[in-house]
Amino acid sequence: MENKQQDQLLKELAQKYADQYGYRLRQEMEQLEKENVTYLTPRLDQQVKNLLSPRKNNKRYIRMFAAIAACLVFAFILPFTGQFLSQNSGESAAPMPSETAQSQQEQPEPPPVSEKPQYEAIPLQFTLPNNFSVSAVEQDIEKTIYYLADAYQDPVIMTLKNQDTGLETAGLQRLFIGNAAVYGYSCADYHLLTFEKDGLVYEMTCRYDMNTLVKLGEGILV
Amino acid sequence: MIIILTFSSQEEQEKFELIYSKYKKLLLYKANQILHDMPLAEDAVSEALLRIYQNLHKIGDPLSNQSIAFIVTIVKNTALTIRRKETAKQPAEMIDDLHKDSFNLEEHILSEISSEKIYELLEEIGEELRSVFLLKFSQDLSHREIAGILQITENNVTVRLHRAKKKIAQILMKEGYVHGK
Repeated sequence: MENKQQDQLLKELAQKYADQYGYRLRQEMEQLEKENVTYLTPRLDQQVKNLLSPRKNNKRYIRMFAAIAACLVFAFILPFTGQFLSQNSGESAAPMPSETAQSQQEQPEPPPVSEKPQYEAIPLQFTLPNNFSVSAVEQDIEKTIYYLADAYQDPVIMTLKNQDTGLETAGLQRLFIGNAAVYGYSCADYHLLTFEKDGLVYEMTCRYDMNTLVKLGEGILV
Repeated sequence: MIIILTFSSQEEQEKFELIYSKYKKLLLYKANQILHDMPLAEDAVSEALLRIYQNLHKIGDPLSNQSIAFIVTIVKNTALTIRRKETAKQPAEMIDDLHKDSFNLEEHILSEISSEKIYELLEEIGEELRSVFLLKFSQDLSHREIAGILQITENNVTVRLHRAKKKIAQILMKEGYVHGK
């Protein structure tokens, strides 16, 4: 089955779960109400109040600013409008039908309603070493995620994205593969290697051995 | 422009106030179930409310089942993060063998499994994996958004999602709903 179809079914599965979970939480909430459980949380209430009150002030400022801006615009435009009207009083007031049609054509189209941009999968720009094979490919907005199965039992998850978002190197150690700078991180649970090449940011993770990633990186960089 | 923004934030503010007043008790109860400490539970709810506030646009009707599930998922994860910090434990993220990852989830199986059964099956994968799975597939969030909500790296999101899908596949296979490739 294709990934898209698979994702669609997982989506339905998740939505059915969320609906059932929400239903059960609602029952739990009703039970709490019945049991008359009360929590006195002055600290939390105050925190939420603080979170909300600056917004109220902000709104006041925004309204005030909007009113002042409107007054200024009005004061600035009014004299010009008078001049413009007096200049054009001799000319025909009604626009020609062709002009009307043209102006209607020139009206900008309304912006599309929050459509998510569609991104295409970024193809692999290199040949995978023999021990690797692509097990699955996913698209997460602008990122393409490759799941690479490894004959040596150290599978890799590799993410490709365009360089526009930049390389995130905070907390990573700088290393070199050939002359290229790469950034790595190792902990007990996984190893991470990231670098840029030809306008793409590569981020790869494996479970057991940093050398798995370094060898894969060599195939891309060297 | 300014008026629209003001109106929009007023609506969001009302939504936020509604969420807090309606679910406060449930959220504290859920956080306390994990932390067994009321002040810490308060901290968890407070922190989670900030994350909910940042993602208000993702909540359509705050009274829907999907929204409650989303809100409680965020609270439970915040509580779990606090518990981990308290016990100085790090989450064990692993990438398992991808060879065994493939499975056939056939279209008809969803009509065969009841919602109650789906709930029971997904309860088996654990809160950390389930949260990522739900945020991705139920709320349609990107890896970056999920990372922001759960305060983990995008890489961790990818790993957890992979593990969640694999575990779900294993459970569905065990129950005889799907067969391996």
